[in-house]
Amino acid sequence: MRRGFILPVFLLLISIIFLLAVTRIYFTKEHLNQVVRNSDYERAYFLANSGLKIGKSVLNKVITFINSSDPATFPKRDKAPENIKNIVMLLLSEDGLPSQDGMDYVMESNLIDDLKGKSRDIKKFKVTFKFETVALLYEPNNNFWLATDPNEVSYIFSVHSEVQIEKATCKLVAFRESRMINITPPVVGKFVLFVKNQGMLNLNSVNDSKKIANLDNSPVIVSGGTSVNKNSLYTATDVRNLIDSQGWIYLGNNAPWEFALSKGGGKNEYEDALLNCSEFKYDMTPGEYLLSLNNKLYYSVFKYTCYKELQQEGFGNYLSIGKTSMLDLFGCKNTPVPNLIIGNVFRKWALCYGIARKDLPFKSFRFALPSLSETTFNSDTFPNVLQNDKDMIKSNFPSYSDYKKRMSSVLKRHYNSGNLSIIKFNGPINKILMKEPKYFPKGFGVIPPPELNRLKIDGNNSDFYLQAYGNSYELLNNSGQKLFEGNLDSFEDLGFLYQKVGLGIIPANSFFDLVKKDGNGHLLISGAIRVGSNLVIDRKIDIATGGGGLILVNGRITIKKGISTMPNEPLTLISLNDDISVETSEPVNAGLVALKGTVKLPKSFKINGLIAADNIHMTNFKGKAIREIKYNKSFDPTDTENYKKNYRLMVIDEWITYVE
Amino acid sequence: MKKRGMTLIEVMIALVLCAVVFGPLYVVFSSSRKNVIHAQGTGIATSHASSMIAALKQIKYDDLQTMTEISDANLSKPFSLKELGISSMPKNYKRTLSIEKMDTSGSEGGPYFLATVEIRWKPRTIKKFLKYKIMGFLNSKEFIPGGEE
Repeated sequence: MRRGFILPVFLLLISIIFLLAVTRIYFTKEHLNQVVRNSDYERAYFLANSGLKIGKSVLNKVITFINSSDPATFPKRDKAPENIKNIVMLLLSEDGLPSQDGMDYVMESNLIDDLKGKSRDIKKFKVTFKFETVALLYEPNNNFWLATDPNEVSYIFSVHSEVQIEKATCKLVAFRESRMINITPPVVGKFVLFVKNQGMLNLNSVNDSKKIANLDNSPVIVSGGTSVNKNSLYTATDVRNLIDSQGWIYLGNNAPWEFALSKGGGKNEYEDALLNCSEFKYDMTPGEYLLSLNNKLYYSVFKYTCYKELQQEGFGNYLSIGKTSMLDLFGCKNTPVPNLIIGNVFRKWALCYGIARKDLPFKSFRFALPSLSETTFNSDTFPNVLQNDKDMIKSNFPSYSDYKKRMSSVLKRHYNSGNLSIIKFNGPINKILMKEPKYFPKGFGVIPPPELNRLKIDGNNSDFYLQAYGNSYELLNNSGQKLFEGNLDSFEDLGFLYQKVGLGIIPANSFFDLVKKDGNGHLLISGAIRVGSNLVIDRKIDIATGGGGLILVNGRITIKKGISTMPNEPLTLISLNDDISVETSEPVNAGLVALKGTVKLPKSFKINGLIAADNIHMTNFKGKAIREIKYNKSFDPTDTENYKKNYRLMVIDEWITYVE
Repeated sequence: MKKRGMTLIEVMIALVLCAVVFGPLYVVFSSSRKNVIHAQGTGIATSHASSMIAALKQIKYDDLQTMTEISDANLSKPFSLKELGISSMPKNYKRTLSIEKMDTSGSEGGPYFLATVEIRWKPRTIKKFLKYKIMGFLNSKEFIPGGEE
């Protein structure tokens, strides 16, 4: 071997070996770094996932709080718990309505700080909430004018969780669509009873009596809200304000609705309210007829009454009112509920007129003046009237027109006149007269009661004691904003409510499986859902606080079990094109709306909410039962405070999570 | 002419040169081997820790309970490896599970169960124990509208 060759070869080999060594250590180091980074990333991933879980739970608290109908949670911005206050403040504007400004909020969390403290190499752990407004839900409807609610919008909510461990950063994002909707049923929410047609409803079908044993049916007590103390009188303004806030009654179509008022078997629970079926007497004044009879002084006697025992009380045979109504629209005598009855609606009852001698005990001499036609008055005999009595009448009343002023009769008044009976007018007014507006004393300076604030008929504010009936109705809220304008009979197609629905169509047979529930199994509608076909509620429904909403059913709704909700939680079942059949005597705390169909009621029922239908059907039966339709004021769209409480943040889809 | 051999000094120089050259080479190769073994160990630890956390997330909230550094062998139902459906650790690796309850007041949506899986192992080439720890929340009690992701 030549000298001088070995060293270069050696050096070359050494160089190659060094190069390989450096390469190997570089790659192994890189590999190690990569593995460590991956393992750090894995740790970051699980921590970021935990951050998402915290964020979603906190967001859930926010949603639950905003959706809660508990009065203690209002005003929301003030009453929000400290740990979610900042988010609530960003979601709701100062007036408590949903904000549309969007939100980008880094969560302050002790829990996250605790997690960070468990490992020193966690460089960053941040959870951020974001939400942005996507679109308005409503478009104005052309069939009738209905106010658009600009606060009903869809949102995208997202929770961002970012964790950095050494050099590994993991960013996870979870998002979902949400909708802020108001679950107050539009327009019909203002009515405890909204019936467009009488249909087969036989209004006056109760064989009434003053004895409960003789009463052959139980009237339905319709209670439109707050009752009044039957022994108290209120100022006209108080009554106006009260009626503005009640759940009204609409009885539509042009055909008159005539209610023969009921004595309800002498039971205060059944008797029609705001009508005193007692006797009244007052001195006849000079100029009245019969003053000279036998040189005695007489009372004139009124007897407002409304039951068939008239015939047994000396007024009989002269006046018959027949069967009485199966609907008591002003509650019952025990709990009178003044209300506004909209439509061509009348109440009728017997007004028995007679005289009594002042020098004898009141009941020992009374003489009824029978109801007579002019032909009968001018004939020789009065049916069922003794000849002497007939002669006395004829001798004291020279003409039929004189007699007609004093004869007994069936009074027929528009229904709202009953509201006057609780008003305290200043001055010495005969209370009897005050029940009849047409009998307002001449010259007596009665200032007409103020008009309603929340209803205009044909462009004018409506009175609460006169007939409320016209072609065009305007519904206003207590701030004076118009909510609806049009003919109430034409308010029929509720298909526009689909715009509130977030989820897809729920199959009816999967209703109980697919509707969300809270930890106690109580249903959480919290918005609007749509059911594809006939819905049968064959198990008891409990609605969670904040879980109220609108259930829109494309078909018939059959309710076989009770529905319970919290007092301020409105749940409305709406059949868009068919009937609603109630087949349970258990309380149904819900609004039942079938504007294209019939609401069928069983022999005994208790509806706490409202009924709105094209017509209603009552099951006839012989017997006594509780039959009650009671308004829940949380349905009232005209009360702005109440309306505000009915916004629900409806989360629509499942969370969609991705790695950013 | 008689050929001269290498002098002692030359041999010594050659040996020194070899030491200078091969010493660092040995260090370099040894270090890279350590890296490989470390990376291999970390990968195994990460994989086993993650699979355990993921499996723990399947346990219902009501079945969760707190525990402190329980090794695989001592885990009982429903935390046992069989129940979780995960494989046991290789030889020389030790896995422990701790579960603690956090946010018991519920102010942030709790209570949460935080699982910490810690894996320790001692590679042949490294004198000290290596440790890998992973944390994550398990199922929570609170109902989340819209469900979990």
